[in-house]
Amino acid sequence: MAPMLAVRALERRVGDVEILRRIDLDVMPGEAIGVIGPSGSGKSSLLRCIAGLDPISGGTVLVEGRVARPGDGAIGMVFQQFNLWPHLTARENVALALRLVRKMPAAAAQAKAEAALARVGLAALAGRKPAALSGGQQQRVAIARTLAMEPRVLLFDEPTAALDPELTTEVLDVIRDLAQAGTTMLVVSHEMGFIARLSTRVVFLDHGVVVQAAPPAELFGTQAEPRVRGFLQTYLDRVAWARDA
Amino acid sequence: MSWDFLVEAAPSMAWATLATVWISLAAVAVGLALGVPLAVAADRPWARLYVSFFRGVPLLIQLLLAYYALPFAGIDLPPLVAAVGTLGLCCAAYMAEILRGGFALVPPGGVEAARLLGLTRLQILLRIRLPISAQAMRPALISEAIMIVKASSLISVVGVLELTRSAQALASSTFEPLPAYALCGAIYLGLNLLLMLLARGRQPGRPA
Repeated sequence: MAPMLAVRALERRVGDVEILRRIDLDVMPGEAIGVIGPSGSGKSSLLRCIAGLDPISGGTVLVEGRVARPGDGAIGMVFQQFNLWPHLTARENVALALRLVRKMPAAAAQAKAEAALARVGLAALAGRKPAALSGGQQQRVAIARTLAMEPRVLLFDEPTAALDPELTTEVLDVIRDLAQAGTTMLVVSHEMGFIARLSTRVVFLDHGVVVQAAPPAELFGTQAEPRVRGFLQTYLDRVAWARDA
Repeated sequence: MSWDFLVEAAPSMAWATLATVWISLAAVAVGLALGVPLAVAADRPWARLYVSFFRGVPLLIQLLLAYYALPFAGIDLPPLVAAVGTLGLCCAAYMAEILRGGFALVPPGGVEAARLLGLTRLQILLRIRLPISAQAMRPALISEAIMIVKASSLISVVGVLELTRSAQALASSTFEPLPAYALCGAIYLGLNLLLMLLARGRQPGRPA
């Protein structure tokens, strides 16, 4: 089977700084790849390069064998800060690209937007502007906005980093449902438990290099590389500390 | 100011008020139409040169240059067109600075999301950047419109019949300069109070 997303020798340099060094990654249709690693390791840069938001210095990114372009529906991305448009309602946020990019008639775009909002459990709040929604609801609108364009690969860049634990759950539930429905996705997150349960494979990045890429049972288990184990230990320590307290 | 004076002044001043209103509207329209591309291209040398020139040279000198210098270059414009054009070009430089500041308020993430969804640069400008910043820019843009209404008095020097020029004519024909200029000032004030009301009309929305 051909990969849905093929990243080959991807490099990104800014001046003398190497942000990403020869990243190779094949993502099969329906796979959910978790991307973890310390801050500044290049996780977000990897997603932004795949999405075409940051220029790459070398290598290729192919979706179904073709170079993706913004708006062609190949890649959708959900951002840490939601990035909704504050002057538009949830429905309008989702419908805008359908109308302007997909050239759908207004009524059809509205209907599709409402269907996408229903899928993330927000049908009742379609008429609200972002300021009248909680952070979790805003992020679900952002997910609906991306889903409505029917991308073949979905990228999540720390989708819950700006949310408190309660709101995090509602967003993670939506992402888990999408993964179970067979959506091909890459998820950058510090929610280790979620990544462990969601992912078919987990990629550990450090200093722009893939240190380990393995199924979660291996990467979170005894077969972890020493650098990975050191990183994960800090999470385990924190859980232990919370239990003691 | 006597009743007789007002009766004599009314027709010419009413026309002159209309002239000032449409001259100002035309200048603001030109200013906005040119101000948007200038703001988008704010970092380009030509945009900086444009803004520096029109903000740095007095409007009166710009008007005189347009009136006296353009014919030398073989461009013979009717005084009204030259005057409104110059007023609009000058207005554009100030509008561009206001818009540039307004665009800086638009979170880059909102623009990135739009780019990734496939919106064109023009669509992003018209549907995302302008509407998001419009609320914040409105007071400054209306201040600029008020400045233009007042600055339109300067175009009387190139012989365009507007409020100030009409007041001058009225002053010399009636030999009553004080009521003529008082009436003129009151009309400017009235026009600008209307604009100020527009600026206060709606409370700005809560930022998201």
